[in-house]
Amino acid sequence: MEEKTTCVAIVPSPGYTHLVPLVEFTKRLASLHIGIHFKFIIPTLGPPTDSTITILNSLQNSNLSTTTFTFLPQISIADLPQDASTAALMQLTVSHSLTSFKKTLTLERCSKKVVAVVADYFAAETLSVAKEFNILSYIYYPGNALSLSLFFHLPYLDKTTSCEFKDLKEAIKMPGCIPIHGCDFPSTVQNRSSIVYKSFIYVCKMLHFADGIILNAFTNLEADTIKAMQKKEAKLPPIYPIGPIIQTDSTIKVKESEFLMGWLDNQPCKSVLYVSFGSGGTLNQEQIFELALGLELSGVKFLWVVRAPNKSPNGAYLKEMMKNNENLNFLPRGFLERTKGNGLVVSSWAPQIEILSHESIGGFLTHCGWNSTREYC
Amino acid sequence: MVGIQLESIVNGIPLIVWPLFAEQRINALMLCEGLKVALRPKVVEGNNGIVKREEIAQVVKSVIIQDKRGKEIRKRLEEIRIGLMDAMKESTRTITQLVLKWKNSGEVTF
Repeated sequence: MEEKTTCVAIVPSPGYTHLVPLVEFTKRLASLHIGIHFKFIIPTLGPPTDSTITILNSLQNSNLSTTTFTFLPQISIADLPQDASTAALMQLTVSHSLTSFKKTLTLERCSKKVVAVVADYFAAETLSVAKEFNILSYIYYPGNALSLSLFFHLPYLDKTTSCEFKDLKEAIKMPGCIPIHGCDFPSTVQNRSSIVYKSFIYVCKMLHFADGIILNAFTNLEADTIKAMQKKEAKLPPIYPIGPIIQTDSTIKVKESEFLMGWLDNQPCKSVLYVSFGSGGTLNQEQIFELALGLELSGVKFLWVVRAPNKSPNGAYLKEMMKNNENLNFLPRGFLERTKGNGLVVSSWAPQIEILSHESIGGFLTHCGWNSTREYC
Repeated sequence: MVGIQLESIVNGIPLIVWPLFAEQRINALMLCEGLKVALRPKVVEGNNGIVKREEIAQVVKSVIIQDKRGKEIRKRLEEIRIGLMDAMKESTRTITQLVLKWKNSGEVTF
């Protein structure tokens, strides 16, 4: 009998943001020529976006013939609570997709030897299906070791804390970690009576049942935190710090970005501050004013990507904005003229992977989101 | 480590962190106090949480023109960069270990 191909099922949570890290991880695995087939099984909320399709096609187009993908039947946003947060929507979509996930996995097992399921942490519920089939199950966590430690610790905090975490007087001290105050905890756990809180605690409990956590961190970056989690006494699943895995190339290129990169080419080495708050959030008017005037006051060269009203990458829009600054009228009067030559303000999308690897960049002002210019696309 | 900040670190670029949402605070904390590769502009108390222009200019200059704080960050980034080759080797080792485990896992017949 012909031997079946070894297959690993990869389960991202819905949305572009949580897909990118798993795609990059899979590319890294495939680059080692390990003879494993990777099957992306993707829970979806509404139709997949263009960026989602593009990045998935990048898996197929880069000679990685051992990767395929399939979308699970779409969950309609109308079937989910209207006031649900993004995190809650992602988890609910996964919950609603469990039956179809099980079906797809069963089908896959007919033709291939499925040896493991690797799920994004928001898709942790799918691990229960893997367990049912007696398949090894892993969580892929693209964040840092510090927040992973906190997530492991949350079920305990949930049991032992009676107030909201932000009202805790003492910072939480975990082995190998810098102290964290409750007010710095993620928003998903800031309202303990909410649905999202309860489902997030469930995710944190699931982490303990995985056969391993694949972590995009590396030991010499967060040595103490990783080592503390790997100690026997910690009684945690094996931690696999497989980082650093970074996005090597922007998935979408626009012709107009040549202008921007050309501008950077003409600046001295390490002289430019790259400013990007991402599309997921924005500053208020007063703060934008202070930021603009602060940049001007510093006299430092800057490349500022301001939030665009349109979330999708749109080259034509960028071009229009560069020609016509009227739409940037929320900036202080005369700011663009005064900083001309020293600064470049662009709207919409920017090729930030290329920007960050440009030698003219000497600093990056970031809001610390997942993906500074394309959150929640 | 979240993609885009990791990208910055790998490229040796100092960060200025300005978290907007709660989930970004722990990243900011890790970058400033854990890894010491970032500065965080201070919000003036009782000023509606606004960071003033003078503070922004100061932090920007620290990072780009490089005062003592900026120099320390660059030094730390350089240390990280030197360790990157080892990190990549370790990454490959860890992945190989994982893959071997997968390959040796027997299929459960049904």
